[in-house]
Formats: sequence, C-alpha cells, structure tokens
Amino acid sequence: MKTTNLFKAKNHRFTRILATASVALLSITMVACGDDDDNGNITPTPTPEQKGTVTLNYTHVWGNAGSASPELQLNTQLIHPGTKDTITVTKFKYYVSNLRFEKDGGEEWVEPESYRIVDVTDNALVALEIGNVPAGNYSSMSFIVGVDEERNYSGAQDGALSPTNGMFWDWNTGYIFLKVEGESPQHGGFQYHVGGFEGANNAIRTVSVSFSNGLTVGDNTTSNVNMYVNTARVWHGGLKVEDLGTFMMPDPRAVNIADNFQNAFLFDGVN
Amino acid sequence: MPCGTACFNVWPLMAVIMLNLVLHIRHILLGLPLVTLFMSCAKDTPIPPKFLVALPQAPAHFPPKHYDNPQNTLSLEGIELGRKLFYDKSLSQTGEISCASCHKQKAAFSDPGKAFSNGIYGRKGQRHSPALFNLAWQPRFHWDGGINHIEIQPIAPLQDSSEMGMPLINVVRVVGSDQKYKEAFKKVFDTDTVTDKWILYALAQFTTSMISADAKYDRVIQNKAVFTDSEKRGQQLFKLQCAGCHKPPLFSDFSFRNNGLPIKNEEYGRFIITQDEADKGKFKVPSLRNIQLSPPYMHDGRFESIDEVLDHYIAAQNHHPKADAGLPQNLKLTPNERADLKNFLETLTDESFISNPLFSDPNK
Repeated sequence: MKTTNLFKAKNHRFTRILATASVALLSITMVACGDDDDNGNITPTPTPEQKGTVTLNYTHVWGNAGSASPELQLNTQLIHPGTKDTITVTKFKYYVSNLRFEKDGGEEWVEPESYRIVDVTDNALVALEIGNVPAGNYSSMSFIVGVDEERNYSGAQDGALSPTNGMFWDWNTGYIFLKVEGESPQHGGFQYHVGGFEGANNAIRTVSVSFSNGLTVGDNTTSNVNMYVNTARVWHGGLKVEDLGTFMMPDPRAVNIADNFQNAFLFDGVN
Repeated sequence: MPCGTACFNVWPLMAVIMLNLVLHIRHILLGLPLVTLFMSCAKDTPIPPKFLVALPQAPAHFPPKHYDNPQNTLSLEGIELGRKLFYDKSLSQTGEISCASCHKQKAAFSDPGKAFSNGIYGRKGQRHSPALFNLAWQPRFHWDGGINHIEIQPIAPLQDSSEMGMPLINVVRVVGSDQKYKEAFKKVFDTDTVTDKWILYALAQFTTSMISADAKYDRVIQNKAVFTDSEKRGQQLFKLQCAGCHKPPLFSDFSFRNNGLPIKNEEYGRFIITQDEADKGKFKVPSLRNIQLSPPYMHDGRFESIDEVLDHYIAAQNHHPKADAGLPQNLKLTPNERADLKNFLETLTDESFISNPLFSDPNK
C-alpha cells in the first residue's frame, strides 16, 4: 500500500487510475481490518504488491577502461593515467542519494529516504542494497552524488545523514558529498572535501544510468546493477595534485571535481 | 506509572514548576488553554492538576517562530532533558566544560566580562560568546551565520577543540551509556537508542524554549507598565538611529552587516562562510535585548561598555565605504540624549528570564 503512492506517473490518466485503485484497495483494507470475524468468514485480503531488491555494485577502479582498469587500492602509490602524478589515496567516500528507477513509459519509482554512504575500503567493490523496488521492467536509473539541498537545511538527522559519519561540516552547515584524501610525493598530503548546495558552488550532481537491455525486478528476487567507478576521474582534465591543494568548504575546485566525478560511473550490465 | 527511578527528572521538575508558578503566574495563565490540550493527549501518566504548567510561550507581539519541527514536539520533559544536557560537563573532552560554562544565565546566557571564553585546557575561542535567548526566531547561528539550523548548532561548540573538544560520536556514547539519560530519552522520544539526532532534538527543545519576553519594554507594549519620560525620548532616538538593524520586537533583523569596525586578526566574519568579497567584515546583527547584562560587545568583545559602542557609532572614521549604509548617520548625542538612549536600552533587560528556574542549573 505504502509504496504504491511513491509512483510518480508523468501521465495524468495513469495517476487517476492509480488513485482510484488506491481508494478501492483502501476500502478493502478497511474491511479487512474489522475486528469482528465471529462467523468464520474469510476476510478479503488485498493482493500484496510485488517487490524485489536491486543491488547496486560499484566496483572502484583506477582508469576509464572498466574491467580492464586496475581496482582502486588504498594506501598504495598509483600513477594517474592522465597527469602522471603519483597519488596515494587513503580515503574515498561519497554519498549516493535520491535513487530513482524509471520504466519505459516514463513511470518512476522514487526511493523514500534514499541516502547512503559509499566508503571504499580494502574491498574495491561496494554493494548497496535497494529494497522494496516494485516489480517491473526498468530502462534507467539515476542518483545524486551528494545530498539534496533540502536535507542540507533540515537540522538533526540520523542514519546515513547523521553528522557522526564524518561527512558533515559543523561550522558551515552542509554535507560533504565526496571526501578524497591522500598524498602525493610531489605535493604532500591533500584533502578534497567536496560539498556545497548553493549558488555557483553547488556541487550536487546527478548520475543517470541507462540499462541497455533493461532491468527486470521480480517479486522477492534480487537483481544486480553493475557499475565501474573510475576514481582517477577526480583529477580529470589535467588537474594536478598541486593545482588543487586542500579544501574543506564549498569552493570552485569542489565544483570542478564534482563535474569530473559525475562522469566516473560506467555502466557494466545487469544480472 | 509509579514514579520510581524511571522518572529521575520529575521531582526536581516539580519543584521548578512550583517556583515557576509563583514567579510567572501571568505566563502560566496565558498558557493554560494550551496545557489543557497538551494534557488531553497524555495517555498513561496523568500529572496531577496542581502541577500543571505551561510550555514557555511567546507573547502576542512576537512574530511567528522560525523554528518549527513537527517531529520534535515540545514537552516539559523534553525541555528538562535538554536542560540537563546543556549543563552537563561530561559532554566535554575533559569533563570540565558544559554549554553553560560560556553561556551563563545571569548574563542572559553570555559569558560576562570575557571577550573570548575559555574552553577545555583553558584554550580560548576566537569569537565572543553570544547571549542566548529567543533562538526559535533566528534563521542562522554564529556571528558569521555559518549554521543554518538550531538543531545542529551545538555540534560546533561540542566538537571545537578550543571549546568542548568532544566528537559528536563520543557525546552519543557518553549520553547513551548513562541509564538515567536512557530512561529520559525513552520517556521523551520513545526511543530505546540514544542517537545524536535525539540529543540534538532535546537540546533544541531547551534552547528554543529560552524565551526572553518579559522586559519592561514588553510590559509597556502589554499595557502593564509605562515608560518614564527619559525612556520615551530614548525610544524615539532608538527608532530613528538603531531600529533599522536592531528591529523590534526581537531587536535584530538577523541580517549580516558591516558596522564599520576596523578588521582585526583577519577576522572577516560572513566572508569566511560565503567567500563573497562583499561580505568581508560583516557579522550577524545581535539582538539588543538584555544588552546591559551581556558585555563585552561585538563579535570579538572589543567594547566593554554601551558608551564605547555608542562612541563607535558616533565616530566619523567608522563610516567608511565598506560600512553598512544603514548605520546611524551623523549621530551626535548630547549627554541627556545619551542617558535617554541608555535608559531605553535598560528597558530591554528581562530579570525574570535570568531568574527563571526552568533555565537554571539543574545540578544546583
């Protein structure tokens, strides 16, 4: 019942049908909730909505060649494929928020309370489990890297949005969307804390993924969406470690990296 | 439910309530209808009618509050829990500093006489500890406005290494491992787990309840008192010269302005947050309520007296091109006018606020 309303149909007729169906379903539910069942009658129960799970598999690599690129290894000297800088990444952490799955007809499922942190550790693969996805055939999905503007204004929050996750600025309110830290022998340590949700320094970026052969979500099944994330993309466009320095607040450099990282996601396939 | 260990807050609260009944009878009368409403929802623990007390109420001449979180419903137990946290030194790294260490009730919750307050290990902060009241009306916090919501404001002083120096996660551990706190959180928020969100909610219940609206100024508006002739003349001067920024009835418009102060120690105020050149030297306009109780003045506490502040606004060199156009123009004050203005400012002092036991140290 609950998730039915989360469908945002672009088609008004569909909305009306959905609304009518919801009311009908609600009436049935209300009957079903009646406590007197002394007569042994079988109480009508609504057909439960079919839902499945989608696992988003983000494999973090160093380079733009997908499976042909080496996996990102933290605390290891890497040579940037573009700039040839020597870079050791010690931390790579970012928000994936506001997941949407779109069907062919434009009908969308928007995940409620959709906030997760991807924290790359020794394992380059980070899997995010998305539950309660209505069964059906989807053609694309999107998410934002970061936290939407509204939640940057919403006071105390918990779960992935708790400030205890180390992805929040306490002196200049806002979430850190992407945290990349490390060092380079030429430059020394660096910390890129990318965030900002206002004006020219808005670093919220949407990533869209098209499923070339569609994504089928069945009832009580788990489907996988596999992606490669090119972490070297942070320094795309000739950005040298020494050009970037360190920044810990909304900043044009953060915008630059947000633009770069938006294009770091390479769709691999579904299964 | 019998009041055993599960309600550690209630008896001190009752004492406070009784005292408060005596001290604030007019507020309570105003709030009675609301209490009745509030009570009617309580299911399991009816409080005997003799203990009825109102949640702190804003007077009719105040605008609507800025803070409104329907998920954080104000309750007396919630305010009391927030008060416990506000006065709790164990929330600092050394166990020696609480919020109240730098926000003392007798000084309208500022730090009297200190330009910069002492945090853990005697470290000094970089800005003057502001007075705290009527926070539910403030859209942004800190002198530079870096904080956009009252609920998350406490994270900054809790974590700042020159204030309480305690990572938020450790605050959660300390509070969450205390049985009395756990019971209180269960009672107020019906939660078995104490998380940072609930701690911040409780603190916001307390801080947004700190309403200062019972100064002589308010009583004059409510036709319960009259200004002296000098106060009246002072009010006229104030309207003409000061009220543009220090807008009644809150006595601030909460904007950020450059009031002409020479910049010291590369302290650029609002610019630090926005990185906008135009914001260099701008700071939040503070409320002038309780101003006599909360010297020194300005973001860095550079002025010790109201006279020094007035001298600053009179001095021509402080009206430089970067200074706000709304500053008093060609301000000259005769000794009588100065006395009138100061007399008016004195009518903004709220004695009942600084003696209200609802806001006082629960450990005393």
